[in-house]
Parts: sequence; structure tokens; C-alpha cells
Amino acid sequence: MDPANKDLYQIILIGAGILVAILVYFVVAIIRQQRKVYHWQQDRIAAEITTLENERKRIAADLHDELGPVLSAVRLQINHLEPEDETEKMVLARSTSQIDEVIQRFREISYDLMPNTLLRKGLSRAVEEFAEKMQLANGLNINFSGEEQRMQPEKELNVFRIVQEIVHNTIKHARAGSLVIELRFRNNKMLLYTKDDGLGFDYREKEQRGGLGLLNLQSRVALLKGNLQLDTQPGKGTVYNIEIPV
Amino acid sequence: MNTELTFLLSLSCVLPLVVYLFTSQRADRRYLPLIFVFLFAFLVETSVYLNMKYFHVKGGMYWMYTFGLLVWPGFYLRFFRYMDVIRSRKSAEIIFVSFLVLIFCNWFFLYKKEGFFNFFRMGIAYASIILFFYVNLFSRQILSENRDLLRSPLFYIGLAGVSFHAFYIFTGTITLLKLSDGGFMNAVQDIMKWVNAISYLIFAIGILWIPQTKTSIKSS
Repeated sequence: MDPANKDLYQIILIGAGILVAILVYFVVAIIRQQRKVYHWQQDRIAAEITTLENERKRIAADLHDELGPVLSAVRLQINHLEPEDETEKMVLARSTSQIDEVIQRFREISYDLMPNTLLRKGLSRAVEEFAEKMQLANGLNINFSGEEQRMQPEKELNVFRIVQEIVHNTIKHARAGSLVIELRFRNNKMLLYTKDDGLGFDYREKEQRGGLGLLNLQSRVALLKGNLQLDTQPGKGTVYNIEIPV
Repeated sequence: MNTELTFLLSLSCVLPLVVYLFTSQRADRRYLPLIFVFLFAFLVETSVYLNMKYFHVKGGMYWMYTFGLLVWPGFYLRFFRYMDVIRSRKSAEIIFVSFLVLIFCNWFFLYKKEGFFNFFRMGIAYASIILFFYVNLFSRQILSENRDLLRSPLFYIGLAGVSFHAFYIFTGTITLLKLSDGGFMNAVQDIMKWVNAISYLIFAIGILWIPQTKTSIKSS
């Protein structure tokens, strides 16, 4: 290479160096921006979930304090009525049965909004109770085994909501015969494992259709700074492995 | 740079293929068109080497690389379509057909006059189109990726794609300008050979992160 070309080559090398510097700057800027957006999204999700849970708590308290006593009073008054003929007797019996149904439904809604067992007895007991209820109501065979270790109330509530979401998804979409739920504590981590023998699904297709249930799960796990692993394929059931730092 | 070292560096396109062989069992099939890009790059590079070493067919290198240019955009456009960078199938088809027309016109009107240099114009056009989509793919990660970017396959694939095609345009333009003698041009092309090797190494890291995205997700 003659000296003139050597100089030109040096200029080209400097040009290549500048191109590398621009690329590095571009990459660093992208990484920083993505982290910023990611944290912003996490904060927003956290705020939304907290607002949602506070609102549920408030509605549950209002129902319990205001509607509960009224319903009980109505039930009591109906019981004290004395029917005069068969028609009145029938109407009274029907009203009693309807008010019982309303009270039962009212309790279920209150429980869904804020399960008392969770606050009083802890996560494992609450999940067990919830599993029993769902098994009775939907005929899904739920095998639950769990260890009890108290965590922060917000954390317990979020894990409970995760379990609720998984069970509801299994009943609603998976058409499964059985569901296994395991709750363990190892090395300062809470491990939640669930496995159903249902239809499974194509994750990519679900992602494209924007499945809200799955997004809720991911958001709650991300809020708890945990890991979520989902394994599923059409016809092969669904397995969730969730790790939450205690 | 001697032929063997050149061939060795160009063989770096095997790296992502090898990685894919080990991870392909449960790999997301949306990445398959990209694997075909690497496979055809390997075939073209091997054919060019064999031609240079043993067969010495006149214009062989030009036609082999041109063959690559006819095949790669098809796979790339499919890959970008799978990754939602290109929204409609029609857009992908229009881009592909326009590119083929450009290649044909370039060859038909300028090949006789320019010889092998004629290839660089097509190469630059190709690299510009692909670079545009790679920048799009890369920058979309900001909003679409909900985990650490350094664990995302698309981040590495985007990075490798942007680097490779940006440098290709840079060195290709200098070569096309025919700024100086053959030795100088070879020295410029040597830069591209090293960038080529580094890019494929980054592609291979990207392929390593692909597995299990179809039947399973892992988010943290």
C-alpha cells in the first residue's frame, strides 16, 4: 500500500471506529431506556394492583358492615312472620329460601373480595379452604399440599390471587379432571407448583390474542420480584412453577 | 489476508447453526427463517471458497453471492414478519419484488461495465433494507421486552444484524467508490471479514437464548 493509500486507510479505520462508537452508544441508550420503561411499567402495575386490592378491601368491609346486618335482620323478620293460609306459607318458604341464597352468595362474594382466613390463619390454610370450595362447586379434583409460613400480608394476598387465577383458568379453559397445588418454603423462597391434566394451550397464540389471565399472573409475580415458569402444549396440560422471595 | 483465514472467518456463520442444533428441539419456530439465512450463508461461503481454491469458474463468486442476495431477503422478510416488524404480508411481498427488480436492473444495465464491483451496489441496497428492519426490531425491545434485555434473543440478534449491515454499507460504499488500488480495497474488505466473524458470534449468543419460548415462558 503506498503512503497516500495508507493515510486514506487510516481515515477509514477512524471512520470504522466512529461507527463502532455510535453503535455502542446506541446499544447503551437502548438498554438504559428499556430498563427505565420496564421499571416504570412495574411501578404502574404495582400501583394498579394496590389500588385494586384496596378497593376490594373497602367493598368487602362495606358489604360486611352495611349489607350483612340488613340481610340478617330481614331473615330474622321473615322467620317471625306467621302465615295465615297455605298460599302465604308457600310464599314465605320461597322468600326464606331466596334470602338464604342471597346470604350465601353475599358470603361468597365477600370471600372472593377479601378472604378472612387469609388474614387470620395464613396463606396455606386459605388456599386449602379455597381449593375445597372450588372442588365442591366445580367438581374439579384439587390435591393441595402446603406448608405454613407467614409472610407480609400484601405478599400473601398476591400469592392467594395467583392461586385463584390459576384455579379459575383451569376450571374455565383447561377442562381438567384434576389439579395439583403444592406450596413449599425453601431457602428463603416460597415455591408454588401447580399441574393440571387439562387441554393445555399454545402460548404464542395466547400471547397474540392478549390473554388477560396470564398477564395478571405475570404482573403479580413481577410485583413480588419473583420468577414464573409456565410449561404448556396443546393436549399436554399446564404446569406453573412460581418462586417468590420471602 | 490469505484465502484460508478469509474462509475461516467467513465460516463463523456456522456458529449460530451449531448452537441451534443443540437447542432446536424446543426452539421457537418463528426463528427458523433466520437459521435458513445462516445456512445459505454457509453454503454460499463454502461454494465461493471451493471455487477460488479448485474450480476457478469465471464470475463464479459474483453469481454465488448474487444467489445469496436472492435467497436471504426472502427468509429475512419472513423472519421480520414473524416478529411483527412487518405488519402485512403484502408489504413484505412488495419489498421483496421491488428488490428483485432492482437486482435485475443493476445486473442488466451495469454488470458488463463494472464486473464484480457491480455486486456491491446490490449488496448495499440489500443491507440498507435489512438494516432498516433490524433497527426497527432492535428499538422495539424498549417497549416489548418485559425482562432483562441481556437475556433476550432478539436483543443479540438485533445487535448483530445492525452491526453487520451497518458495516457492510460502510465498507461496501468505500469499495464501490473504487477509491484506490486492489491492495487497499482488500484491506478495506478485511475490516468487513472481522466484523462478519464478530457479528455471527453475537448471533450465536442470541440463538442460545431462544429455547423453549414456544411451549414455555420464564419471566422474572
